[in-house]
Amino acid sequence: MISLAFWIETTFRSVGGLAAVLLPAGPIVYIFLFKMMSFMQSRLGPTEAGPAGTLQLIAEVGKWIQKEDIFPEKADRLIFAAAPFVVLASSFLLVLVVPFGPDAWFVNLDTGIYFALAVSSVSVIGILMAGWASASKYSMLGGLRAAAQLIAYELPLVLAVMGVVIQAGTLNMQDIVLAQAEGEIFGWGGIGNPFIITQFLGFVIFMIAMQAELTQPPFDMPVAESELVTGYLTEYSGIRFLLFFIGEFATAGVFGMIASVLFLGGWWVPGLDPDSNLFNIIGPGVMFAKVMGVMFLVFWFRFTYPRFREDQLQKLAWKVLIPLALLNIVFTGILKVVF
Amino acid sequence: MTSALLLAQVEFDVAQNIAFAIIAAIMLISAFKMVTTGNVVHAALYLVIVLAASAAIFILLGSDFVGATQVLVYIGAIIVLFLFGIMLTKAQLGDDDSVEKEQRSMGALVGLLLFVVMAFALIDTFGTQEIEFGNPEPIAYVAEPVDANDLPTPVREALNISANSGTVEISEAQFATLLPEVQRRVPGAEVRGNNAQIADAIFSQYIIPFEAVSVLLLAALIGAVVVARKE
Repeated sequence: MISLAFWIETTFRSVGGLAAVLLPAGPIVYIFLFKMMSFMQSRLGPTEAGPAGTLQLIAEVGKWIQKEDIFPEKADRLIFAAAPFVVLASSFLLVLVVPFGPDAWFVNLDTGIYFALAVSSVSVIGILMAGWASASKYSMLGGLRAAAQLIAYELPLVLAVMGVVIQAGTLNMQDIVLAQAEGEIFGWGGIGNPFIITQFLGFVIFMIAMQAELTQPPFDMPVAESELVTGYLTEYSGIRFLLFFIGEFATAGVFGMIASVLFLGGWWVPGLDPDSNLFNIIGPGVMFAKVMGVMFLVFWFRFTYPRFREDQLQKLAWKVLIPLALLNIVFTGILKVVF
Repeated sequence: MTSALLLAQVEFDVAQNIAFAIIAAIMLISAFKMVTTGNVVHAALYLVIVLAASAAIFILLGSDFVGATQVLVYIGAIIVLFLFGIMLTKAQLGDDDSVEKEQRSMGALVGLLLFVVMAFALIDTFGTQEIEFGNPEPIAYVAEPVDANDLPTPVREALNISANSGTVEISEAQFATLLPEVQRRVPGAEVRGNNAQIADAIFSQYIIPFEAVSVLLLAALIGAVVVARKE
């Protein structure tokens, strides 16, 4: 073990955190939002900027940065300005507990997943701030809808994770990965025990709740453009809109990481010793591949289903997902005691 | 140079103490602004900072469960409901004239009284006793025979056990020589950290109060539904 001075370690961690949050966001937007969406809608998508339109995102970012940062006349300037940073802060706090290899982690908290679920709720505050400070009815309604939706879907999200936690017997993200790597399904440990197999119901509930937490269609009532212009984003322009946009896809990437740690075995691939040093090097790459897999599902549903109505959205959470998640916990508990 | 030497001589968690000072300062300023601001939404947002700072202090003290709970319950649920309630009813921008300001001297008095009582209680209980940041977590271990093949690689490497040496038993003396992150991987080892201690206390010693509180909260929830539903 090499030990570094506190400030060097802190710098490494900060840079690593920035990279872990921001790097996946670019490929996610290009591959899924630009190319996959175009493919599903029978069009070409961006083709001009760079080979096959790969530099389109950079062009878009450049465009937003040079646009004027407009504040509405009656807006609460400080809160209006701070809101996008609160939303981004939530994704940075989330990535802290994600392990990328046996020794490649930012912090190895004993309560890893619990901490992640707790800080994921901070983004609601940012969205409410944006909605209120814009001094616009559309923004306000969008903010309130977002808050109602995020609160409703946080419950199935937490309850779906409970099944995994019971099966792994730990809240620590690193130990959840190891539990999957060292686990066995009915005595056969060939591929370990990725919890997507034994916790399939939990995985389905987690993915639906995650889609809603990310306010991706079909759960995009907060920014329903046919009714609310773009909800809490209405008054934002220039770099602050860009921050919200980055926040949306960066958070999608981080949630993808959490889903792959919980259900797909995280940085581990079957057939290799989870303690080998190799995983410190290939771990981030493995995580990236798994995140892309999870994101493929999210965006597939995003482009396939039409938007929910507000009452359907709330009914799905409270009357379907939460009871199912509770049943999943009961069954997992019983099976844990029996086996 | 001399100041760095001075700091090095004192046994003192520099980074943690600086972090504590910064967090405490932010917390105090926000708490003061919260009770003096003229806008209800601003007050709620200052409260968010105060609660986030106290969560940060819990985490600084190595009690991440309490810190995360603080964030989950207070910021994620209670403040969001506050903001939701304020914004659904009246949430004007700028100063709100209906905010009561005559009670301020009374409030200051109560605050001062509370401060004196708590400061006295803390000084009386802890005195000059030093609090350590982030205590290492104790790991309990009961020796049991295991198949060497099932041992995780770092454990085998640290104790020089080969994978095909059959059934072995790691004695408690051998266990004590391992690093904490290796110790927790040994079969039969159990981390008795803050979380385990809290869980033990809640689900054994305080099980009846815990269940009573759960039922009370459920009753309050049903009561709220009954009151809110008119028909």
